Amino acid sequence: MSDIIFEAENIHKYFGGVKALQGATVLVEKGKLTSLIGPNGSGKSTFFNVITGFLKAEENSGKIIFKKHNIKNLPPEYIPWLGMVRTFQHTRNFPQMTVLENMLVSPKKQVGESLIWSFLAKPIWQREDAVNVKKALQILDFLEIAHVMDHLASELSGGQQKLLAIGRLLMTAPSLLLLDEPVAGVNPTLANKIFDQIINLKEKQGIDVLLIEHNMDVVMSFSDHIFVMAEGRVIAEGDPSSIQKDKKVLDAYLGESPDEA
Amino acid sequence: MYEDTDIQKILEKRIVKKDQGYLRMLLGLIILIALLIIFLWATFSSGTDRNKQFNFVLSSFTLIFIYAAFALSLNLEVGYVGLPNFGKIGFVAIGAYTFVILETTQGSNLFVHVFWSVIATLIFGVLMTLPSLRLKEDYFAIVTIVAGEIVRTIVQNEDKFGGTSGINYVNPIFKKYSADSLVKHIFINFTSFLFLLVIVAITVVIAIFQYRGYLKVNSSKRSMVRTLENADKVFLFFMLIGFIMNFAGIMDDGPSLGLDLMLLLTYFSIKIAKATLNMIVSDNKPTTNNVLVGISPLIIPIISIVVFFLLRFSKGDTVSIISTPKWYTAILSMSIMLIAYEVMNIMDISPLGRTLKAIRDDDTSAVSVGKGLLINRLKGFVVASFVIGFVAPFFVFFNAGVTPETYLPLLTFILYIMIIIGGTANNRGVVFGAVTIELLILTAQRLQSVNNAFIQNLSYPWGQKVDPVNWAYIITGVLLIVFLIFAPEGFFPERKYNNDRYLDDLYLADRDDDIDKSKFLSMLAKASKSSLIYGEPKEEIPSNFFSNLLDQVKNKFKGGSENE
Repeated sequence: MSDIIFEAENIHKYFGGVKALQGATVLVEKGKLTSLIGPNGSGKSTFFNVITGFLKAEENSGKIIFKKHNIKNLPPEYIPWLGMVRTFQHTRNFPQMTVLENMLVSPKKQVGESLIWSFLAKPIWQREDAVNVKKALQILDFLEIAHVMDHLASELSGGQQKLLAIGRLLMTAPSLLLLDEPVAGVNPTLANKIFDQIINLKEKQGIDVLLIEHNMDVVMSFSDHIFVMAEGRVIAEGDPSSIQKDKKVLDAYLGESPDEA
Repeated sequence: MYEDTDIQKILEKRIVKKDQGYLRMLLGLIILIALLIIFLWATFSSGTDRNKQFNFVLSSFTLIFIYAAFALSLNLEVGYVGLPNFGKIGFVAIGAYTFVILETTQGSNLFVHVFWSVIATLIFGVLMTLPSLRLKEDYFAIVTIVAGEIVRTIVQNEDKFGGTSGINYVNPIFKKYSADSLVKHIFINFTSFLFLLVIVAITVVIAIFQYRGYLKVNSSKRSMVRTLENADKVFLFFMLIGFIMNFAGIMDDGPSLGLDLMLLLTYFSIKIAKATLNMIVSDNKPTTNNVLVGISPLIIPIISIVVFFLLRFSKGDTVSIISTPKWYTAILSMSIMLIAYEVMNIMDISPLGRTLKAIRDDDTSAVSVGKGLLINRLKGFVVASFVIGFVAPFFVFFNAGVTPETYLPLLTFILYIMIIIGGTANNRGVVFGAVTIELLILTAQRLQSVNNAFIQNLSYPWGQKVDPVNWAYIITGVLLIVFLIFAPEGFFPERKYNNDRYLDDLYLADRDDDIDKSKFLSMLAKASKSSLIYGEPKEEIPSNFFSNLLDQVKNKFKGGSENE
């Protein structure tokens, strides 16, 4: 068995009376592309929001471990420092900045971001920026959006925006990417291309990926391990072929079959 | 692996986009020049006393520059941080009152008291914004407007702060030198001439060294532009020393207006040289040509030196016109504005400014790559408060004291109009907006008393006389509405396509040995804990100042109870 890089155990989250998460447990193993699927309203995005600190987990939740750090209820801006970064269901870039600048925001611990050194150490942060620009250009080229580096992020097409969002995350030198519907609203050709990119990242850069996706074709053909969520719980897990045969999964998606009741 | 790809190949794919809107900027400049001409005409054709007219022009520009500095500071909060501060005037009041109270009770000590004014404004800024930075824009606006009003109400009702009548304060330079003694020293004297020569020489030597360094990797034009960009900052630093020496009376033969003017002229000729180079010279011209174009505007100060020496020997009317001490306040406020401008420029180009813009654009997304909202916004507000605290004492010089009526919320709104019409998140635009709007209002004031039959007899069809001041406010209001609807980005839109700057510096990425070779650079890199020396930052939870403090306090209490 390979190493477990991320572990969320028995996560609870309630919005008033609505129980969005009721004891969800998800593991991500190193070197495996893990997917999280489930019908609408099953709590997948809430799960992402809880593990990245944007929402606080309930008191009765278990632990959330990433690289031996307990990250439960840590402020959301600290989690990228550990190497876990996420995208959003609706792509969120910085619309009034160029693609290149979008990329340059991400690197952590830039000298020029400090109040004092931004005034005193200009030669240093200029050099740091140059190194970051080089890295950003290479990543943009890797994602095949280098030719639009001078455009504003708001001028890009939907697919390019999704790629840019992934590119911004790569600038933080991550070890685990959490992708929330990376190919929603993207045509099948581009969707396959984006997934090729994700597979490339996993294999060549050694970056692990946990993703939420509704497009079953790509999920079934690319994932190594799948978790199925329904009503805030993980109802099934396993490799794609076993998930496809699982009766509980079919019930969750299509409603319970009458002959069983 | 993406690390292996060739940068040059990537750059060839680039589809270059450039900023548009030069026409709008040109229109703005034409309007400004027209306004300036009307202003000067209106001033010099109202009344007969030349000295009074000159004084009015000078104090107008003092006020304009101070407002421009305020507007620059407000622009940082509104344009970059993205939180509307409607209590700006409260910050100004804190700085001004601190300065005046210290000056009147502790005896005059300009530098120390300006320092305390900065500290007081900073503390007020942090205390006010820390609890409210988590609020959304509209609620933040409410908090700030309340804070500004609280400050004013307190100083108005507390006798310690002068109450409604305020506290009077006389500019030290007016106190120290009588008008007669200033007349003696208006022209450039030997000490100041020597000083000027020395600082020009230092700047030139630094520039030559830098130019040679840049020439190794850049084209001659780009290296010249870069050199001049640094030279004007070096010169600004020395210029300030000159102004302060003049103001504080350190030079033994008294303050010299000539020196102040020469310094300003030289500073602006460096700026003009940079602009000319950028516009005229193409990248592949030979080196000597570029250097010649670069230094050609230096002719302006050289000619003026000659003129000043000639003026020295002419006596009579000219002397009394330029003898007014208001020159010193006008020039000082201009240099204060230039400093505020340079500070904001660094905020514009540094990674800190970039992060602030990112947070303004999408805060959730910024948090998701590890940029804390509170700490970064606080940094922006600290810089803005710092500038306000620095400028506020000079506002006191202008007003000759403090009164609560000076710090009405109206001033904040005028600053907002300046920013919106000039251009949010564009420092040049903000200065332009400040000059234009304030000039419009001052021109209207002058037009009221101009010696011109046409304007004096101007009246509405129903017989009422036309009041230019009313019209100035009407025009400002209409302009504001027109701009908000049709051009919310103002006369000078925010610079959006600034990738060239990053790509120009790209060569620095391949020069790793620079830091090892240069002692200065390696010292800086070590002090700032740069990743260039220490490598990629470790994957760890960053220490939080506030939570650390809390932990320490907790531990202390725990330890105490255990000991007992």
